[in-house]
Formats: sequence, structure tokens, C-alpha cells
Amino acid sequence: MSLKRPRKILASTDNYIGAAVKLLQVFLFAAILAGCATGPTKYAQFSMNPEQESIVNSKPLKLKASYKKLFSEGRRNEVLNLMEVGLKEYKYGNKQEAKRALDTVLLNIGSVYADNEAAQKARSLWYEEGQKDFKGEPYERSMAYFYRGLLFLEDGDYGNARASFLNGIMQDAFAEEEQNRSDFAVLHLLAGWSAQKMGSQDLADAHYAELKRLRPDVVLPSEKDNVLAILETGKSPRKLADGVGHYQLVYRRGKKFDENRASIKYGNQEINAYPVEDVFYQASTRGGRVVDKIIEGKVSFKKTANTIGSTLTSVTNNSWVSGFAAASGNSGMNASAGVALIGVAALALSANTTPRADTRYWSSLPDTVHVVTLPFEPGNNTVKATYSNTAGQQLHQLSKTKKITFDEQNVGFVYLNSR
Amino acid sequence: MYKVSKVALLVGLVSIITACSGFQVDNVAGRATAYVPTNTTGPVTGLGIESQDIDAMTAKMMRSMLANPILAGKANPPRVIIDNSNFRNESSSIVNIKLITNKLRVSLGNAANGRMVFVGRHAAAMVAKERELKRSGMVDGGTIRKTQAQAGADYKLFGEIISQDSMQMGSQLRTRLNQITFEMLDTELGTIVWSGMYEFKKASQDSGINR
Repeated sequence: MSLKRPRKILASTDNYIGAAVKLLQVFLFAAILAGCATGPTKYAQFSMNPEQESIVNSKPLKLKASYKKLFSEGRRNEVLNLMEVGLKEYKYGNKQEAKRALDTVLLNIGSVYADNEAAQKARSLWYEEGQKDFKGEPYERSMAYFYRGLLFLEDGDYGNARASFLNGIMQDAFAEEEQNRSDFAVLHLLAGWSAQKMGSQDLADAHYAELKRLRPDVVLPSEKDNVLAILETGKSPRKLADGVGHYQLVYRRGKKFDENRASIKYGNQEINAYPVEDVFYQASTRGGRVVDKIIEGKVSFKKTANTIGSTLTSVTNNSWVSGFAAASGNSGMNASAGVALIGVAALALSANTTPRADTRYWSSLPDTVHVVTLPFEPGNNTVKATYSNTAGQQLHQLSKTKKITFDEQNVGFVYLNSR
Repeated sequence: MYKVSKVALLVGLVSIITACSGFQVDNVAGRATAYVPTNTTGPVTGLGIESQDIDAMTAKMMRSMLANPILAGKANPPRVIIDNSNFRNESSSIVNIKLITNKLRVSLGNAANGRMVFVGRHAAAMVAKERELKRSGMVDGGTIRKTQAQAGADYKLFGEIISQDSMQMGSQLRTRLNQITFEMLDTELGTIVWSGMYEFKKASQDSGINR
């Protein structure tokens, strides 16, 4: 009898140590899995082939980084990087390159890939929204059509310019908030201008009527006006991921810029440009997206899985389970570890559900678009854009001079950007 | 006792391996370049005018023009201009109109077999330059003939592309009706001697993830 007692005590101690080791393993997995869930997904960078490297090397310093990103970030960011490249090329006056980049962007925006693998993944619980191939939010898509339309306008191709602006308006029609649908005023103005210049006055009148509804104080282009000047100020709206788990997409106005007024000088005249479009307003009034519902579903699943996981793992620490385990020997210990295992599995599901919102955005966009139309005789075709802040102080360092380009119909166009 | 421990270890390791890579490779498979017939719907489609639409509309217009006695039944073949100069795009589809007018002119030229004569007004500047070289004596007069002026046209094609878009707000299902009209104008009298129309409607809906 006296020999048996110490053995019993030893067996019981052995059970406790075994259970403790098992629970330690289980909590170790949970800790590792929880650790894995933090931070956004990192994506592979591709190395450039010799042809791509020679393209990057042939570009001016200000464009090198954009081209490098285009080639190294692959298909997932191709549209975003082409948006950046297209707009930067346009700002530097390289119209052919801008057209090439923006045409590819529009092909991607306008085409429907019904069985896109990346889109399927982004819908899945296990991949974050940023996994999808970037197509942009409606304001970004509208702006892609806006710039392509401007390039058509410069070529005097008013039909395709108007088609481009109409497509931009339709992208904006996806807004969930009804009062903000198709309220992209600058696109209505430009569609009207294109229609007017191709001789479809009835279409122009319809566009201008819509513009007047959106901007009652706008002065409509007169029949005599033959020059259109587009001026841009400020920096792009920003996308941020807010809320627990960064699942909520929010917009913030661009920062680190002062200018919000623009005017053009030609000869002795100076004309204030009309601020026709607030790009940040367009970005932030879009309303909910279909994908937000998908992300909400992921968040809900994550919360549920996390709750189940936490409850089951905490149950194993509960004194009555420990007491039961101690009283019943091996079977109780195994039950405790089993419950903990289910808990860990649920925690693993929760940890790997990635509801993080996609915050990639077109960073070279402006904050505001201003417009001027005027009658202009070809001759001294140079105009100077000047910019000022809310207080009316002129920001001389931002001033730029540019030539107006006239097409075969003697219709002129000039695009100026403060940045 | 150790069975559960091993299972836990295995599940944990699998979870770590499958879910914790944290570095995803963009390994979407590429697609080798392949010829796609121009008269079929390709792998990428949109709501606008595509190659199969251009094929179908030009074939239909060509047949209709060849069946018209004023255009294709005269003993003295009429002179016709088919180019993009009077073809207007008022639609929401971005399209290079030359894709339509060039195909129509070339197909019709081949099929008409001399029943119509096509005036290359789009190349008038090129012709004027050659005529000037001939008349200045820089080059000889060629082998065919000399005319007082370039050819005037009896008929000229004009047309329009218009469209109507609609969208179901909830599902964002979009449709576009495209209507392309072709008309042949008597350039002396101003009457329309032939007209044709081609219409089609398309519907599409983007993936929810992109809406």
C-alpha cells in the first residue's frame, strides 16, 4: 500500500505536465496565427527584363519611378500604374505615350472579365480586397475617361472625345447615393463642348442644361468661344483604411498644397478660371460599394470565428474543466486539449480572414479642375496660368506658361496643372 | 494522450504553412498570343462596337448597296465617295470610324466588280501633288490619260453612330443600344438614293468586386 501511493502521485503529476505541454503547444499556435494576421499583405516584385530596363532608362528622371513600378508590380497594379504613367506623360507633354497608357486603362475599365481569377480571390474570405486587379473607384475611372477625352479634343476628334466624357459620366452613375449620381460637372461641360464643336448643337444644349442644373452659376461657353483651357490645382484625394481591422474605406482630401484658385493671363487680360469640379467631393460622395458588403461579411465572419475561438480556448483555462481533468485522469485531459484545439482552429479561421479595405489610389490626380472658354485669334498663342490660395495670395512659384494648340477647325485647347 | 498533441501540432503547422506566408506571388497565368477571328466575340468584350459588329454591319450594307439599282445597276457606273469625312460619332462608344468606312469601301470595291467607281477623295492631296509633278514636267504624263481635274463624285456616303445607355441601379447591369445609319447622298441634287441601318444591343455586368 505504502509503495502504491507514491506511484499514483507520480502518475498524476505526469498527467498535469502532459496537459500543460499540450496547452502550451495549442496557445503557441494561436499566438503564431494571431501574429500572422497583422499588417497588410506584401506582394512580390518582379525583376525587369532588359527591354523594360531600357524603357525605364530612356525616361526622364521624374517618370523613371512610375515606369519601374509599372514593370515590377505586375498585373495586380497594372491599371493603377498606367493611370499614373498616362497622366504624368500628359503633364510632361508626351501625348502619344499618354494615349497608349490611358487606352490600356480604358480597355481594362470598359471590359468585363466574367471569370477573373483575382476578382474571385478578392471575394474570398482568405484574401484581402487589395488582392484584386486594380480597376479604380468610380471617380478614378471617370478621371481616366476625362484625360483620354482631353487628348481626343486636342486631336480635334470630337466624336470620340464626347464618347469618352460620356463614359466618364456613366462611371459616376454607379454612385449609390442617388443625389450624387452623374454629377461630374466637368464631364457634362466637356461633352457639351465636344458636341458643340462637332456641330451637334442639340446635344450640346442637353449637356449644358445638365451642367447648369449642377452648377447654376457657371457661364456657358458661347458660340464665339474657340479656346478651352483646363487648369488643375492641388493634390489627389487619399484613401485610408479605417475601423477595427482596417475594413472601412474612407476618403481624405489631399494635403500639402495651398492653391485652390486659378486664372489665365494672355496679353493684357486676366481671366479667373471657374472651379467646375472638386475631385475629392467626387471621391467621397460615392456611397457604399458592393465590395463593402463583401468586406462587411468578412468582418462579421472574423468576429464570429474570433468569439468562438476565444470562448473555447478560455473554457480550457476554466477551473471546473481543470478540476474535471484532474479528477478523471487522461480522458479529461484529452477533452480539454480537444476543446482547445477547436478553439485554436476557430482562431486560425479568424486570423486568416482578411477584411482589410483596398487603399490603392491614383496619386497624381488633382484636387480641383478649373475651366475657361474664350474667343481667341490664332497669333500670340501663349497663355500663363497663375494660382492663388484662399486668401487671394498669388503663388508665383506655381505659375506656368504654355502654348495653345489649334486643330484644323481653329479650335484651341490648353491643359495646365499646378503640380 | 499524445495523439491529440500530434494532431494539434499537425493542424498548427499546416495552418502556419498555408496561411502565414505573408508574401503573395502574383502568379496569374499568362496567355499566349492567338489569332481570333474578326467575326466572332473575342475573349474580352465591352458594350461598344467591336470587330464582329463591324464585320456584320459592313457585310449587310454591302449586300444592300449592291442590290440597289441606282448604285449598282447603271450602264455607266456612278462615282461614289466612301470615307469617314461625313461619318459622325454621336454615341458613347469610342470607335475609330475608319474601321467601318475603310472596310465598307474595300469590300464593296471588290464585290462591285466595276459596277461602282470609288473616288479616293481622302487621297486628294496626294493626287494633286502627282498631277503637279506631271504638269511641271518633273515626271512624264504616265500611261493612261490626262484629265482636266480630279474626279467629281455622284454620290457620297454619310452616316451617324448613336447610342442609348441604360443601367439597373441595384445590380449595375448595363445595356447599350448602338444604332449606325448609312446614307448615300446624290451630291448634285441632294436626294438620298440609298440608306441602311444596323442596330445591336449589348448588356454586361462587372464583377461585384469592381462595383
